[in-house]
Amino acid sequence: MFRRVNIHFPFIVVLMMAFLMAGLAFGKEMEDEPLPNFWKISKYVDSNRQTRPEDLSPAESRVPPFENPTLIETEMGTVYLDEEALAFQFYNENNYLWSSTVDYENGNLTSNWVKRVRSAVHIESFNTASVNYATTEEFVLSDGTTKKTKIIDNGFESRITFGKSRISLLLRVTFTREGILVEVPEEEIEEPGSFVLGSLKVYPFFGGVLEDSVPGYVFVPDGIGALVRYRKADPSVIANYKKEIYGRDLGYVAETNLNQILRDGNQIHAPVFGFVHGVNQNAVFGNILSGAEYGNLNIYYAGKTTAYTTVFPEFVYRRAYRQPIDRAGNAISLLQDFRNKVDVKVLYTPLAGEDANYVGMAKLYREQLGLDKKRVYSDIPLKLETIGLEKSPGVLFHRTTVMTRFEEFGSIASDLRREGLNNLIGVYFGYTDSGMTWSAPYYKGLSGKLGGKKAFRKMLEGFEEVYLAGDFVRAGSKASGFNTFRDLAKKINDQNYVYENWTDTKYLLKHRKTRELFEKSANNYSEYGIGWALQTIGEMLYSDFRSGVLLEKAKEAYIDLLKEADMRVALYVANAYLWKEIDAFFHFPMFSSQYVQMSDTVPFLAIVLNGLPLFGTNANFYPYARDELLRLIDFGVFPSFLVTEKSSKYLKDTELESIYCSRYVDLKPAIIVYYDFVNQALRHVSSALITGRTVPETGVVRVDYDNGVSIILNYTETSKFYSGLEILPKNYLVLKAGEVLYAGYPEANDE
Amino acid sequence: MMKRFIAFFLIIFLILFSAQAKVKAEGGIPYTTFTLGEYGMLTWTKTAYIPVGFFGNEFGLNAPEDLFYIQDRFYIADSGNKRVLVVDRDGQIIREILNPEFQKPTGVFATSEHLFVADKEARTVFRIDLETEEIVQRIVRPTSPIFGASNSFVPIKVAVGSNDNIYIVGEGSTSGIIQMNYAGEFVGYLGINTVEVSLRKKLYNWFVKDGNLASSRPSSPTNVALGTKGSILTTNNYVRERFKRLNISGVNTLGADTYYPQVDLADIWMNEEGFIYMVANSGEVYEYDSEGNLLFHFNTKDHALKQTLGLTSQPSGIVTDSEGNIYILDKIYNNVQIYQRTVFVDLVHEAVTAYNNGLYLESKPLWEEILRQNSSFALAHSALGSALLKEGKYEEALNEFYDAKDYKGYSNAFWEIRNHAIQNQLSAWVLIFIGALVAYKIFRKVFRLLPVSEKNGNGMKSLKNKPLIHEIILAFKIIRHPLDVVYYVKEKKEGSFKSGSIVLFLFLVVYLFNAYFSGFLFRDPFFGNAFSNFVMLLAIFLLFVFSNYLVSTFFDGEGTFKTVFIISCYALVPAIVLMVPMTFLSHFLTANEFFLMDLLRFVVTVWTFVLLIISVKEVHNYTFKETVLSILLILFGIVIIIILGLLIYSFIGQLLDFFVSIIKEVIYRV
Repeated sequence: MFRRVNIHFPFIVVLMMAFLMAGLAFGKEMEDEPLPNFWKISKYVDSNRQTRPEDLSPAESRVPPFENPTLIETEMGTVYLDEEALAFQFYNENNYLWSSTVDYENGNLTSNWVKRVRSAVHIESFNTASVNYATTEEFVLSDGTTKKTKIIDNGFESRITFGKSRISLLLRVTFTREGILVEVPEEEIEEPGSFVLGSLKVYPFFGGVLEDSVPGYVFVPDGIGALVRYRKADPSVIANYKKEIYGRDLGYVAETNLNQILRDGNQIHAPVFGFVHGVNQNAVFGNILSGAEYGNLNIYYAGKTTAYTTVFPEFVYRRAYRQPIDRAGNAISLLQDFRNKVDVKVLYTPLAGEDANYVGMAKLYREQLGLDKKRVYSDIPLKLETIGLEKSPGVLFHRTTVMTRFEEFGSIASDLRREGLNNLIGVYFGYTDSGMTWSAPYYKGLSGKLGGKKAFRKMLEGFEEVYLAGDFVRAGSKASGFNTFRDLAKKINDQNYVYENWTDTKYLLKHRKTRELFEKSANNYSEYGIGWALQTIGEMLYSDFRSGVLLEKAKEAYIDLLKEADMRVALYVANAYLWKEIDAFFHFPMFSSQYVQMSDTVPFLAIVLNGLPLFGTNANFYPYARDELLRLIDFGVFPSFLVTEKSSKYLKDTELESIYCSRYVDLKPAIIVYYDFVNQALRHVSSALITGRTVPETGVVRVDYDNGVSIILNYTETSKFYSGLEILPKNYLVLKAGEVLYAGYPEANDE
Repeated sequence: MMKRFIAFFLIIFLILFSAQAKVKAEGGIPYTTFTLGEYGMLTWTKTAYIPVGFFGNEFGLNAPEDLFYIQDRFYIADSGNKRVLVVDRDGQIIREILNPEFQKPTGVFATSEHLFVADKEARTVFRIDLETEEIVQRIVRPTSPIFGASNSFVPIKVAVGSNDNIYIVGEGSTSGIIQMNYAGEFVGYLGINTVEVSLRKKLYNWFVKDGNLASSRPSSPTNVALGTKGSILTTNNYVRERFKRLNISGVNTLGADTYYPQVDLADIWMNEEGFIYMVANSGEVYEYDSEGNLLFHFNTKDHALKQTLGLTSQPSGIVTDSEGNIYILDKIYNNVQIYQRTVFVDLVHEAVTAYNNGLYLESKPLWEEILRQNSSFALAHSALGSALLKEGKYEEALNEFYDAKDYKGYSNAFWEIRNHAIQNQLSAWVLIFIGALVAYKIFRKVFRLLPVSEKNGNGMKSLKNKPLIHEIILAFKIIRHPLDVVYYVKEKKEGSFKSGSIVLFLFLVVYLFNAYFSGFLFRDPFFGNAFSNFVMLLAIFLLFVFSNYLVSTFFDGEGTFKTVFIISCYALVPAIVLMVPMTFLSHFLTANEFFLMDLLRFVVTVWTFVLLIISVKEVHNYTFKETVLSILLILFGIVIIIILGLLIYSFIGQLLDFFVSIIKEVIYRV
């Protein structure tokens, strides 16, 4: 017995050792790989999430010149006017014929459609004499329409009276050095009969292209910007593109809980559009100078309405809406009983040569807005957001979840400073006793649970800038500072704007209340010299039909509010009308809506706003960090993180439970590497503006800055060569005058 | 367990409701991705699959019904065009298989040599040689009597096992998957669905004659896919187990606590690594591991009908390629959407594979990384807990299981901790206990000798003589002598509203204490707000008392309202006495001792009810028959009072609404 054991014993030991070794070896192989989201290289798939290589083939105008045009001599040169349809044509500096209509002979159009594509103006009107407000569509060439046209300085002016509706309006088109200004003055609109104006389209087929007969694309600022390249008619298209500028007008939405309305991709933040006929050859950039808040941008896709692709603005003067009449939810259809103040002014600027592309449009728009350079620094800023405390319903009383105390946020900052990250921007959420979700719209005091005033002051020292986050537009039912009877804005159907959340209900405030609460709150914290990071106000434009503050006044109210704010103000997403007033742009949109018909996503907004500190969404939630970081570098946008002292698991059962990753100790390695990756590229262009962006081959992007620096990015999983220089997979190269400033981020994590 | 079950559904409902409201498309991803969090609830996670493209818009597809992938080739059943397309990885058609016998090909399956096509209208499954494109076999309705004389053969989907067994989903094939051998001979049915007769149907069946009985035929499977290790996957409608992983004998081998999505699944797929992918008609995509743990879920429904990258209208097929990217066929948009798997999915897959192979310790760093990226990933907490348990780090394991709300794991970890505590400290505790006992005895002995004792005794006595204290002591006598207590209260008028209320209050406090402060394993996490529970309980009790009193006035009961109230309150005493130790005990019990707690709960409930019944009988001096009748009437009374209450409530509500709207009107208009 003993002997047998003796025989087996060494064998067992050896076996066990072997298992152990195997286990260790295997264990080693599975050893924690730090930051797989960064270090692992994933395959590049070409799609409309990216910009694709440009098609530089030469464009030839397909539109025949008018047969008997009226010639107008203008600052822009000779303009040819088709008096019948009020269509115009002109040659640009490349001698390319631009036309406000298309080559309708080739498009297989019915005679009625030919009239449509030729017409300068299309209107839709409601018949108030009919029970269901039947709509009528008319255009310049529709039957019975009369017009009185006269040639004015640099253009023409025409009073158009539509045949059926008897609605009459004045169209004025002037051709100056700035471009073609198309105006439909609001005070000149006359509605003598039972027909009232619903909407108006101006020059809907300006720059329209039959299928792919001309190389190029149309541009819309959907999200960050998107292109639709001209291509063959696609029978699978279900709907044309139609989107309200500055987001959906919620004032007409019948849905009581606005959280339930359908979200349709990204918002349009700027009232612009454009079309390119031949990249780097001919382009026209459209800027809606007035009336944009009531405007839509439309794209007719080839194959849907006609075989032409065209982009154009549309203006809404009146809408039908649903009016609930009892508690059971029955509703009747009503027509808005007044006309929106839409003073249409659209400026079309022709671009030629190097500027005839979306980058040229962005640069032009930057000029038109008069945005100045604001940023100069040696290292790029890093934005750190944090959550102080959050309240939620509890078993007996409200539960308070303290996530990050002032002192803790301060030590996070000093910890990162020790790692060499010096340019830190802090944003604090939930610093009052009511916590993050329940504080809006009035902020007062610093919660003692977070450490009080002294700790707060100490915390400020760790950051270059600190912003307190606030929302003065959406008022929470658990908050104070407003009265639900007096201070809430109303939709056209007399309902409040309501967002039913899990732990509270939010309402949209009257615009003057927003201002009052902002000023009061800002005053409460003025002693600390902090900035404000405002949510909602930048991206939401709504009317208060009760007090008569409609979109155009709401817009002015917000502009004034920001103009008069004497502290730094950053906005979480901002529409174009506020860009001049802000010091930083948070949650910068990095994508377009990616509709299947769109061919490319382009950083139009990023190029326009290049002089402003732009910060992306929080990197905690990046699906695959490497691609997103390359995108930050590509677009010149700075990184941002949400960090808390305590684990995000404590946010369960609160309104913030969708935050699944925020603990600083978990994120620290990512913060350091991600920041470094972006900083090594963008610190070379801190005070520069983007002058060019091209895509030499699929997955490779070159961005040029006005200080001579170029960044060449490789989004693909293989090495690429750019003028003899290797760019590693998912990496970049910084060049200046042919010399390498930075040869790319070190590959392995062996540093 | 039932409690968890209910809570689970409640929460799924809540989450779906609230999640819908919060869907925000950030970072160019048009949908939000979820995984399973605590209590089996869906919770947010990193985007698992990034939409990166689509193909097929130019194929001219017409309502394609099925998608299959093998060896870098996609096979699309282009049902409306009576053809099967073979497409390569770049989205280019490399072959178009047309056959005059195709009428409506709805299912495709391919091996390296053969293509199987289930044709719904031709009522045939074709086996086609991929080289010659010729039909080499036609599988038609089996003649075997076991197939069922009245059963029709309408093949819609097909899968072929490595043993050449052919699995066919037939429309209306209520007996399950039709299994054939390589020669096309009927072998048997696999995986019949259970019949779930709802309460409504049961009631209905109660009242109608045989011929009109509600249908109790099981629903037929809707799709089939071949799994790894010889398993067969099916999707099913109208049953709880919406998908199954069947073994060779047709038994569902998914884990018992699998979360089954309650949607109509369009297609199912299992890749070589053993991960299960499903897509629903309504656009939801699910990924499970081979054991049935939900890993990822996202909804690709294009509600805005704008044809967005990554969104679908009505999916009809799902496959993955060798790299784990997902492809979804859409029969309305007539294209295939491509979703690229992220690094996070790689991480989860690696961890899950290791964990399911029993390599707990080895997978630990992976789970830790997953938790760094998502602190609410319940599976990761559970898995990490299991690993820590293996390492003997019971306290840490306990915390992880708590974060996952993994009751089984928590119980195991706690058992270990308790076991250790008992082993290490049992002797110490015994000593302390004995020491305390001895000290107490000595103290009592010594105390009696002291001169203060007499005086103190008097003090006790005078305290006892205070009426309130006396009454409460009387209340506690109900434990041993319920009839005596009734006598004292009824005849001697001992007892008062005050003492009754105190007992009632004590009961409510103890009850709520028990509900909120029991051990984790014995606590209902969704018990709700303490205040509302308090009011609710109080209302129910008072309703009983009130109804009891009302009934007694009709029924010649002897009890006054006061007596009824006091005795009913006193009847709660055993619950008070037992629930306090129960609450404490619950902190020391594991799942193994559930029976003990259940027993105690049973005792408390029965005891309380028996006392209440006795109180009805004795207070009103009823016979047994009268008691039963009166109890029934009391219950009936309670229902009537509730109905009346609701009526009055809604009346008052409407009245209030009316006034409020008038006031609002005045405020707005003036």
